[in-house]
Order: sequence, then structure tokens, then C-alpha cells
Amino acid sequence: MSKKHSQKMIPFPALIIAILCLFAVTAALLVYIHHASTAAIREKDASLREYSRHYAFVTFSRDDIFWEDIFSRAREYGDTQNIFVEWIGKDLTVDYSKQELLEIAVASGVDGIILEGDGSDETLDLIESAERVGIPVVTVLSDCSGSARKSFVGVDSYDLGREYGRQMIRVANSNTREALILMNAAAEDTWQNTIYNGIRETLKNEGNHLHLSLVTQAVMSDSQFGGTEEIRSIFQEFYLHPETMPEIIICLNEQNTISVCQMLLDYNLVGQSDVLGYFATESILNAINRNILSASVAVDTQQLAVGSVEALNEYIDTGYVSDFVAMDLNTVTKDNLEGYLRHANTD
Amino acid sequence: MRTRTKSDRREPFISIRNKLLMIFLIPTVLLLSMNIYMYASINTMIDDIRGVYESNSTLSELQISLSQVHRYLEGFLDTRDTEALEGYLRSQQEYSNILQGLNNRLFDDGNMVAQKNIRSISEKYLERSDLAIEAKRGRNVVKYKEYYDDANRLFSYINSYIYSLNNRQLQSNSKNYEALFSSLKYSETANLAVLCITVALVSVLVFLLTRGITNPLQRLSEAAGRVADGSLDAEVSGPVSNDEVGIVTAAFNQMVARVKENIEQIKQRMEFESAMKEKQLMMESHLKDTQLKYLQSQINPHFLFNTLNAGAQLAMLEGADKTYSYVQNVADFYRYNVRKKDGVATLGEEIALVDNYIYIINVRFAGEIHFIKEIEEGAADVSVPAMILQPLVENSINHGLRDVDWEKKIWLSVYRENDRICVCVRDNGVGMSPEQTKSLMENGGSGDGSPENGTGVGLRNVIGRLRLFYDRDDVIEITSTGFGMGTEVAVFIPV
Repeated sequence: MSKKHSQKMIPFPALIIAILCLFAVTAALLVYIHHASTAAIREKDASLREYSRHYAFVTFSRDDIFWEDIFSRAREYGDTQNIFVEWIGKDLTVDYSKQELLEIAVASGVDGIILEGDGSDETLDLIESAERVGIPVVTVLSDCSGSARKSFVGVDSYDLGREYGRQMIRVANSNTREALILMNAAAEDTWQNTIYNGIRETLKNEGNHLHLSLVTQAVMSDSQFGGTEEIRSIFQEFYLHPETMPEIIICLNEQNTISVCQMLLDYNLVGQSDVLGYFATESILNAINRNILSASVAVDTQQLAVGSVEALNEYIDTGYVSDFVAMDLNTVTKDNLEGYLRHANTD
Repeated sequence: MRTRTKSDRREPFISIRNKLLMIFLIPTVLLLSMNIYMYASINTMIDDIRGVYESNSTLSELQISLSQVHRYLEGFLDTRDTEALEGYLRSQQEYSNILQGLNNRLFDDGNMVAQKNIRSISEKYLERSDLAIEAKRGRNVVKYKEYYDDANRLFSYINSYIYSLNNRQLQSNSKNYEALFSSLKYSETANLAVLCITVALVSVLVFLLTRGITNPLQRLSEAAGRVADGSLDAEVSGPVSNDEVGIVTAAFNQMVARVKENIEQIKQRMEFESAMKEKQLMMESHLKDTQLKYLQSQINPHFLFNTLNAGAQLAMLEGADKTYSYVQNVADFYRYNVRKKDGVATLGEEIALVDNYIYIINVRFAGEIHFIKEIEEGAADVSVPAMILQPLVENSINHGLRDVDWEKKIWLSVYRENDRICVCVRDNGVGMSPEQTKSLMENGGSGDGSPENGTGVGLRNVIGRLRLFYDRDDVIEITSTGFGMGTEVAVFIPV
């Protein structure tokens, strides 16, 4: 017998079983391929989380880093409380006014509104209409006094004024004659007036050794790029007539602060005036670091965000909430800059 | 055969037709079902791809429907037309229906939230437009304008929402479309690869399966070929499949074995027969040889007997008794040879011949050989081949006693022992070495049986004839205890 014949022959049933096993493996492989190719899409559908409350976040500006910071913190905090915080109008293609956004928020039937307050009557009316359909409104950072808002979460503007006053005294000397306060024309007058009063009182009480006169200038920031353009024209004037330039410039919002820093650089006026800014974004911190800004008064955005969400929660849960929730004020100077920079980087 | 039985028990009987059916059907069905599955899964994916932009078309429908509601609203407020009112109510219903399809739950997804908002604002819009229509019908001009303004604003918000949502959905749907499309491509390639591999593996398996059928057939045909060529060792070995081929193979093996067995039997019979024939021929040849030698030495025995008889009568007449006896003995000795032509004699006749021979020898050698015999009674009638004893005695005289100087003696003893009769011829001659006895036993001595002084019948001839006659080897035994100790030759005759 040849060798060929002595080789082992695989039994027929074993081969049939092998084919069936092969088929089973192939079928499993095909199911796996199908599953793998559609897994990404299914996963997206399955991962949606449902919230129990819907809060609207309504601000004048929708691309302000300051408000973005507050919004993202409010959103994060809301997540932990099973609350969805929506920045109304953020994703809309039309650029609506704050009043329209407020109306949209009311029409959307949200459970609560966090509003950047202002003193306009229209806002006042809209808060009223929200109140009528049972939507509580909480103003944040700037108030809407006299409205039906449930609470104001922000800094005490008088305290803010006092802080500005103290910083002015710190940077001023006996030769300092004039301080320019850049007001926001769109913001509520009361709020800015209180700041102004705070500054004046502080100067009177603690800086009576100085001969400092306060000058205010309204900056129209309600039109797009309006604020920046007005500040540019002011600084152009300073550049052309350096003798008119005040020794101290005070900015009451973040946008103005950044614009002023930019103008100082553009017109090569850094060092000519001590600038006191507002808020502590990365660019503001950098400006302090580079001695463009002398100091900046900042409010804790985390505290602000959490405070506003909490205020709404408290009102919805209990029906009562404090009329005013005060936030802490921090002043950033070159001396304590390090900590803020580190904080900004980790954020 | 035993191995095959074992394997039979292991593997159930499956006929070749069924095997072929399975070989064809199983891979075909498997490949077909795999194809159907792949086709179905790819179809599902294509349906998924088709459904990707469905949300966009729903939103477009919503927008068209909303525009219709608003147009009818404006139409009615403009003209108070009944047709416009009907159109409004109809489109409003339609719009509400589409709205039901939108999400109204609060999910962690911008698009879902936008849908919820669209739904809420739309409900408010419809409420305001209803109020506007109510006010218009109630001719409350101030109110309907107020409600219409509200509705108009809400209309623009909804439009803005729908537009933004549509844009965003288009973006994400495009991404989904891309993902689905690439996964479809991936799935197609992977499926094709799996299919190819499966086809290759199934081909290998089909090859193995068919080999399982064709291999035994091939082996069987090869074995049959070898059998046809005359080789009966062509048994089909190796594993045997349990099917028709297996049965045929087993039958073939059995058949070959049977044929082999039969041939073996025939061969054995033929061998036996030829051996028998050969033996007969040899016996005849030995006898012929013996007789030829005698004839050669007895040129005219009848003339010799007559002459010797005439001599004996003469001696008797002259009164020479010894001469008479001598001549008579010589005549008897030669007569025996002539008479025993058939080659068989009785033991008694053989002993008588030895007596004659001793008498003649003693006359010739002056009676110096003493012959002593002891014969058991009844043993003389046993038939033996003729001319076996005398050559032994002659050998004793010629080789053992011729040159000794002591008294020469020869003993002949015949006695029964068990089932045989022993005939011993012993002398007290020179004896021989063990090598010589061995050589004699094997070859019957180197002599050709033609010594100068003898009768011409050699020991070899005697041994050969005894062995042929009795068809056994132990017919003779030669013993000698050493040089000078004599020799004994014993012949065993079976009774």
C-alpha cells in the first residue's frame, strides 16, 4: 500500500460539523461587523439625558467671554442639579435684542430665567409678563430695580464703587488731578450711579488728601462694535491732545476694559494713565501682567453662576428667595496676579 | 477487518447519494443564508442613510405649514374672508399635527431643546393667532392688532428657530450621513472579505469531503488493478468509509482473501503430490542403482550358480565336505541377490545372507572372525528392504576389523523395543571418532559403495533405502565410544 493510502481520513460527519462551526463563526463575525458599523450612531441616540428643569440664560451680549464664563459655570452646576440651562438665542442665526430673547424665553415656557438686568421699561414689562405666566426671573450682575424679578444676584454696586475708590487712592498721588469713569450707556443708571456714589464717598472719606476730580463719559455699547469705536475716538483725542488725558481711567465692564487696553497699545499711551478694569479674563490678567492695567475688580463667576441657579431653585422650591444675593469682590493687582493666572490656566 | 468493524460502529451509514447531496446542499444553503443576511444588513443601512435627512424634511414641512397658517391668518385679518378662516383652521390643525411629532421633553441635546422650544412657542403662537381671529370676528380692532403683533413676533421667532435648527441638523445629519456611508463601505468590504474567506474554506472542506468519497474508490480501483495483474496481496488497507464503497471494499478484501486461501490449498496439495512422486522415483532409482551394481558384479549369475552347484556336487561325490559347504554357501549368497529383485525380504532371509557371508569370509580369512548372534523370536518375519544387513557386516569387517591384531568379533542382535525392532551390528574393531559417526549419519559415508573387496553396496545406499522405505529419518544409529572401542550400527525397523 502506498503512503497516500495510509493517511488519516477525516470522518464525513466531522467535516459536516466543521462546516457548521465555520458558518456559526462567520455569522457571529457578520453580526459583529454590522453591530460595529452602526454602534456609533446608536450610542449617540442612547446617551441623551433628560432634565427636570429648564432655565433660560438671557444676556445682552452673546459672545462676551465674561458671560460665556458665567454661563458655562451655571450650565455645569445645573447639570449636577438635573437642570438644563439654555443660553437663549446663542444658537439662533438672527441677532435678537435682549428684550426679544426674553420674550422668546417666556414663549418657550422655561421654568426660570437668569437675566442680565437693565433699567429699560421694556425689560421691566417683559419681566412682568414672565411673572404673569409663572416664570420667575433672577437678575444677575446688573439689577432691574423696580421690576418683578425675584432676586438679584450680583455685587453690591456701592461696594464696587468703594473698591474702585480704594484702588484710585492706591494709584493716585498728589499730582493726580482727574479720573475718567467710562459708563455704559445701555446699563441701568441706578447701578452705575451707586458705583459712582461709592467712589465719591470713598474718595471723600479716605482720599481727602487728594485733589481728584471725577469725570464720567457714557459709552454707547448697545450697537455692535459701538463701544469699541467710541473708546477709539476718545483715545484718538487723548493722542492728539495728550494734556487732556486723565491720570486714572475706570472701566465698569469687561468689554470696555479690553478696548481701553487695546487703545493704550494702539496709541502708545501705556503708562500715561492708571487704568482700573473690571473682571478677570485671561486677556485682562495678561494686561495687568504687562503693566497696561493697574488693577481689575473682579467678581467670582463661579459664585455668580451657582448663586443665580440656586436663587431660582430656591424660589421654585419654596416660593421665597432673598431679594439680593451678594457676591464677593476680588481685586486683581500685579501682587496677587500669580494665583489668578494659575486659576485661569487650569480652567 | 476488525478495525473496519470498529470504524463502522463509530460512523453511521451514509449513502454516497446522501453524502453528495449534503456536500452540495450544506455549503450552498450556508452561503445563500450568509448572502441574504449581508443583503439585509446592507439594506437596513441604506434605509438608515435614507432616513438621515428625514428630520430636515420634517422641519421644512413644519416651516411650510407654519407659513400657511400665518398666510391664512393675515388673509383673514385682512379681508375677514371665510375661505381664509377655513384655510386657517385647516392649516392650523395640520400644523398642530406636525408639532406632535416634535420633542417636548428636556434632553441634553441642543436640537432636542430647540424642538421643545419650537413646540412651546408654536403653541403660544397658535393661541395668539386664535385670539387675533376671535378679536377680528368680534371687531375688536385694537385687540386683534395687538394679538396679531404678538403672533407676528412669535412667528418670526419660530421661523428663526426652525431655520437655525434646520441648519444645525443639516450639519449633524451630514456628519451622520458621512459616518453611515463610510460604515456602509466598511461593512461592504468586510462582508466581501468574510464571504471570500468562507468560500475558500468551504472549498477546502468540499475538497476534503469529496476526497473522502473518491479516495476509497481510487484505492479500490488500484487494488483491483493489482489483482488483475496477478498480485493477490492487494488488500485495500486504510480507513474505510461507511458507505457503498466501504461495503464493496470489504467484499473485495474478502474475495481476495478467499482466492488467496484457495490457491494456497491447491499449491499445498500439488507440493505434497510432487513430493510423493519424487520419493517414489528416488526409491526406484536407488533400487535400480543397487541392482545395476549387482548385475555388474554378477555377470551371469545363473551360469555361476549352475557352475557352483556342479562344483558342490563334485565335492560331495569326492567326499570333500568342507569344499561342498563352502561352494554351497557361495552359491546361496549370490542366489539371494538374484532372487530379491523386488527389493523386499524378511529379516530372517537377511540374517541367513549374513550367515552365508560370514561363512565365506571365515573360509577366506581362516575363520578368524567370531560371529555371535542373538535373535529374538518372532522378529525374523518382519519385512525389510533387501540387502541391508550384509553391507553393515561387510563394513564392520572391511573398516573395523581388517587391520586389528586382536580377536575379531562381530555381534548381531535383533530384539523388540517398544514399537520397533532393533537390529544391531557391533564389532570390536578400530572404532571411529564422533566426527566420523556424525558424517556417516548425515552423508552415509563418502564411499560410493564400490569397495574393491566388497559386495558393492555402500552404507549411504543402505541408509537412503531405509529412510525412503520407512519415510522417516531415525532409521539408523551409528555409535562408537572411541578409537579401538569398536562400532555399533543399529537399524530401527518400525513395526
